[in-house]
Amino acid sequence: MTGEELQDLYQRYGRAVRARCRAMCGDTDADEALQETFLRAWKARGSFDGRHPLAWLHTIARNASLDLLRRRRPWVDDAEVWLRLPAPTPASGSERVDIGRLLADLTPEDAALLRLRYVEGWRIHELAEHFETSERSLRRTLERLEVRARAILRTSEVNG
Amino acid sequence: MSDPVSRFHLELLALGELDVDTAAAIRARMAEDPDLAERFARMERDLAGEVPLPLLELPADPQPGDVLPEESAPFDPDVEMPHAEPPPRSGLPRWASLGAVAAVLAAAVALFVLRPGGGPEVTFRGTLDLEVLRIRQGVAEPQGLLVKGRAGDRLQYRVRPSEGGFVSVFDVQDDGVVTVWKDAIEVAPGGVVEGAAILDDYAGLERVYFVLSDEPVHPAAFERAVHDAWGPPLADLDTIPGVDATQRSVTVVEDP
Repeated sequence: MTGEELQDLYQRYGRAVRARCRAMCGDTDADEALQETFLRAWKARGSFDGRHPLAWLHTIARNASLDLLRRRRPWVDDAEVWLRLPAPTPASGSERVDIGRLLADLTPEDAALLRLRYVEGWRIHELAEHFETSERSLRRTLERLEVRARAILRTSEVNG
Repeated sequence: MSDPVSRFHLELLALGELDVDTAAAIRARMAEDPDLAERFARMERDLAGEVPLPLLELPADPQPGDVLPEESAPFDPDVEMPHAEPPPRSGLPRWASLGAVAAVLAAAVALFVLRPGGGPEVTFRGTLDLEVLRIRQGVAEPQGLLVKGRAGDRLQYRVRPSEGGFVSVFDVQDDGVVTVWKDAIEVAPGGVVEGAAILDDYAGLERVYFVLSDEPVHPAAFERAVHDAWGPPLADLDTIPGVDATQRSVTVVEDP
């Protein structure tokens, strides 16, 4: 693959890749994740496995986005995600502290999963496709994250 | 077509790259499924091109005579590696003064900017649930990312991966000493791995890494990855680069 060919892929699929990066990382980091994706694609061009280029790019984008999330923790301040989580009580000032504790304890994968599910509205089968895992596994993970969120919010209610 | 429509197919449809028959089938389903139609409409807006793409800058190909960066040798899991013997633990002073930490941090920032995402592509292996309890004088207290511990405390952990694999647990002190808390043990999806360790009187900072990998992580390989990553303060190493595994870690600081 030449540089010109990769630039063609960028023009053709860049927006689709950026949409996924934005869905995982948020608006602020989407372009950086996009650039990192194509930089990695360029470096890995020799190992392209022949599947649809967009599918190949999406796999790289997923890992690049997770790595970027790993370097930062933007979800700690991502109120939009947390206010949309299923919660027993409406979010309030005192609950933000405990939500912060929940968020700080999340892995990048957990944070990406919650953002895709509760902000972007992705369906279970779409999440399973994106993370290349089973729907059953994803449902279990989401249930655990929701239980954890509710437990922390209940603690806040008791202490508040 | 009765299976859910994949996001990938919707993207190809929006890009005009889906075969005629599949495209027709999806459009027929959209006519009966307003939710699917709305999701497709949203995707079309995302891909419409209203927001221009940033310029893509690719590094130039190496030219003859260019000095190429030395590639580290990949770890060969078939090579029998000795287990790292736990070193004698002592109350060593903290690893670096604040001035040295600042200098290292500046270098680490440059390192991570110039070599983003270095190391192998990490395969997503689902999630790794982690619970840590500190048990002191018979009282158990759940812990978060930061554990305050003192000599004699028992740290009890439970790891629950959503996907199967091998779970290993390593302790890394801020003087570079790596100790195996748990050798790689195979676990099924949704299974549980439990263990515990008694804290000694180490005065510095340490991190405990809980690792889920497709193949067992040899302690010597993990130790080598730690030494390769050494530079940023240990407090900044949420995961150890170069280890193809899902990792979670907790930081243990002295509770005087």
